[in-house]
Amino acid sequence: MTATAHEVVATVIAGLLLAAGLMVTLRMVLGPSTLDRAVALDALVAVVMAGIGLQTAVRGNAFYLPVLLVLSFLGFTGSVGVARFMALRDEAGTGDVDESQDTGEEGGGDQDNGAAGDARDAEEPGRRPGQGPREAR
Amino acid sequence: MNWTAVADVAGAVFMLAGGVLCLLAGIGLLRLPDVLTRMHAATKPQSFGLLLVLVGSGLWVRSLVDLGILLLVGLFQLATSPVAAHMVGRAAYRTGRMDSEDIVLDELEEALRRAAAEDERENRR
Repeated sequence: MTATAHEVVATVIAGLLLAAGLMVTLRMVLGPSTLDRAVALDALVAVVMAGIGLQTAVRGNAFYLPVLLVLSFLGFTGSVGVARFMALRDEAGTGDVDESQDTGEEGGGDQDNGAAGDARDAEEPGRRPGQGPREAR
Repeated sequence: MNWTAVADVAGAVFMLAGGVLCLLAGIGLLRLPDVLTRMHAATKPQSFGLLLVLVGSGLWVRSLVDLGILLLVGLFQLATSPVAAHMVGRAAYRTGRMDSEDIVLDELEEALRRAAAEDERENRR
């Protein structure tokens, strides 16, 4: 009795995780900006980790638990790298990485403030003259 | 009803709740409008949903070594996912990917303005 009950529950949970993974992947494909894709990648890693946890519970062997450990270590490096890359591009005054259209005037103002506030603690990445708000310095 | 059956049922309930949270994150990622609200949806399975699945998995596995590894996984996940969320949110703010009208309190804008004014003063000196 218990084996079949376990199988039914595990199948239901696997279906939920599969649907979640499909939707997250769809957002990663559609995502209008790079940051949307980074967020979706994080969520996808979380869903995969949940799937590995479920598989460990159902099979009862711990073969994939180190994979879970490594994913929890390194799952965040991707989005941190993407966020840092975008911040650097922002600092250098080149504006958006994406060619997306949804940055309004407030966005531009925030960008200027952001560049002014953030450039002091960074090591001035190769800024071309004539670009960026602070080339007078 | 012995305690292993109780643990099995409790583990099933925990894992089911975790799966539902993952599904909700998928729906939220598809339907919400901008990066910050999508982050709000996406961080549910990263912390709480994954912890629920790990607790349920531990209740089914019931071996001490595996429980230790599951605990470590939960701890590292709780330690690393806020870092990523912080960086992504900061980049989203700086690149202006959000509705400025929807924000009730924007403390970062004040701080940035103060920092810019300070910079200006230092420049003039």
